[in-house]
Amino acid sequence: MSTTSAWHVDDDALRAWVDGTAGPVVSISVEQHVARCARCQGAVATLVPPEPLAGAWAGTLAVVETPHPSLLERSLGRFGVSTADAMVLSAATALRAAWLVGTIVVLGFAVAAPLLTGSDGEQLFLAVAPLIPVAGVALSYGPGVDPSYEAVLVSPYAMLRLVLLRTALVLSTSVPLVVVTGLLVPMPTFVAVAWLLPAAGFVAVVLTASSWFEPEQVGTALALGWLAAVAWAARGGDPLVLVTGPAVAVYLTVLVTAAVAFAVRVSGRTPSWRLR
Amino acid sequence: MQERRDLTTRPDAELLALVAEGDTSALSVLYDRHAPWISVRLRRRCNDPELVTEVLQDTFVAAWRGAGGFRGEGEVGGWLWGVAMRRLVSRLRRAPQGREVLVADVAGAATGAGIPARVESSVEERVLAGVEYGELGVAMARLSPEMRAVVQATVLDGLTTREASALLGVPRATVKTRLLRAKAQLRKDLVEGWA
Repeated sequence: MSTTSAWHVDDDALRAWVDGTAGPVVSISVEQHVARCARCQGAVATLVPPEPLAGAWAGTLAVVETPHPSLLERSLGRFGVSTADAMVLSAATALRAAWLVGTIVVLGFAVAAPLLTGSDGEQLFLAVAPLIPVAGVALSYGPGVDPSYEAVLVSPYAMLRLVLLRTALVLSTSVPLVVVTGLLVPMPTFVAVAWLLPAAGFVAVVLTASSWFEPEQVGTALALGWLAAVAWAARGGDPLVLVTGPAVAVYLTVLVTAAVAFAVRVSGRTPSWRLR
Repeated sequence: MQERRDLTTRPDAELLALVAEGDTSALSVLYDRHAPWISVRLRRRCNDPELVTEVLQDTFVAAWRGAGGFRGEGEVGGWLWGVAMRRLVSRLRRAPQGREVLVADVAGAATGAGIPARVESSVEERVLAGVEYGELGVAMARLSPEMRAVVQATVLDGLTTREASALLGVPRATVKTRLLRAKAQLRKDLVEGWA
C-alpha cells in the first residue's frame, strides 16, 4: 500500500479540494499527499459522487474486454476503412496467413519448376495465375468457408457491399503478387499480365453466379474448365493461344456478359441478387 | 467473490502486476482506489466534466495496456497520474478548435516550487503539510495565475514544455518564459523571506 505517515489531510481541506473551493496552495498540498496515501484516497472516494465514475468504469471495461483489433484491421483503418468494415473484411478466408502462404508456395513452384527443368514457364504459370484471384474471391464469402457468414446474414450490413469490399481486397493483394511472380518466370513478358483478362472474366462470373450457386461450386467449375483448356492448348503445342487472338474476344465477351448480368441483378428497387 | 475480496487488500504494485497478466478484477480494484482522486484532480485542470470522464476511461485503458511498463519505481498513484495527464493533453489536442475547454483552472491552480520531486518523502510531506502557512506557500500565492499554471503543469504534473503548451493553449516559448520567470520570482521571494 502507499506510504503510511502520521500526517493526513484533514476532512475539511479534503472536502474543499473535492468541491473545488480549496485555495491554490492548499490544493497542491492535498494533491501531492493524496497521490500516495491510501487512507486519504479512501476518504476522497467517499466524497466523490459515484455516477460519472461508474460510467467511466463501464466504458473502460468495454474497451478492455473487446479483442484488440488485428494488425490488418488497424492498417485498413488507416486507409479510411471503418471499424465495422475492417472487421468483416479481415474475416475473409483469402486474408488469413494460411491462404497467403499457400499462394506463395504455388507461385514459387510456378517459378521454380521451369527454372529447374529448363523448360518454358508459360504453361504452368497460365494454369495457376488466373485461378489464384478466382479462388480467393470464391472462398471469401459463403456458408462453407466464412466463419462470419451467419453474422453477415443477420446483420443489417449489406451483403453486396461486403462481397464487393472483400473482392476488392482479395484482388488488391493477389493480383500484384501474381504479376510480380510472372516477371520472374522464363516466358514472354506480356504473359505476366495477359492472364488478367481471363481472371477478370472469371471473377465476374463468380460474383454473378453466386446468387444461384455457392461460390465455391462456381469457383471449382471454373477452375476445372480452365485447367482443361490449358491441357488442351498444351497438347496443341502452344499454350499462348489461351491469351492471344480469338481467346481474347472470348474473355471480353464473358467479362461483359457477366458484368452486365451482375449489374442488372443488383440494380433496381428490389435487387434480385443475393447470396444463396 | 472470495478472490475479489482478497484483491482489495493487495498493494497497488501487485495489482498492477496482475493487470499486466490480463486480470480485469485487479484493474477494477485499482480503479476503485485511484479513479476518485484522479477524477477530482483532473477536474481541477479541465472544466469539462464529459472530457474528464473520457480521460478517466482513457487512463485506465492505457494502464491496462501499459501495465507491463511500470517498473516498480515510485508509487503506482504517481504513475497513474502521469498517464492521466498525458491522456488529458492528447484529448485536448484532438478536441475541435471551437470547443472551449478551460484548461488548468488558472484561478485555483496550485503549485510547488521544484523542490518536492527530489526530496525524501517524509521531508517532502512535512514541507507540504505546512506549505500553506510557510514561505513557500506565500511565495506561490504571489505568483500570477498564468505563471502558477505553468509551474503546476511542468513541475508538479511532470509534463514536458510541449505537452504543457498543448494543455494550456499557449505557445511553447511562452511556457518556457513563464516558467523561467516564475522560478526567478520564487527564488527571489524565498531568499528575501529567509534574509
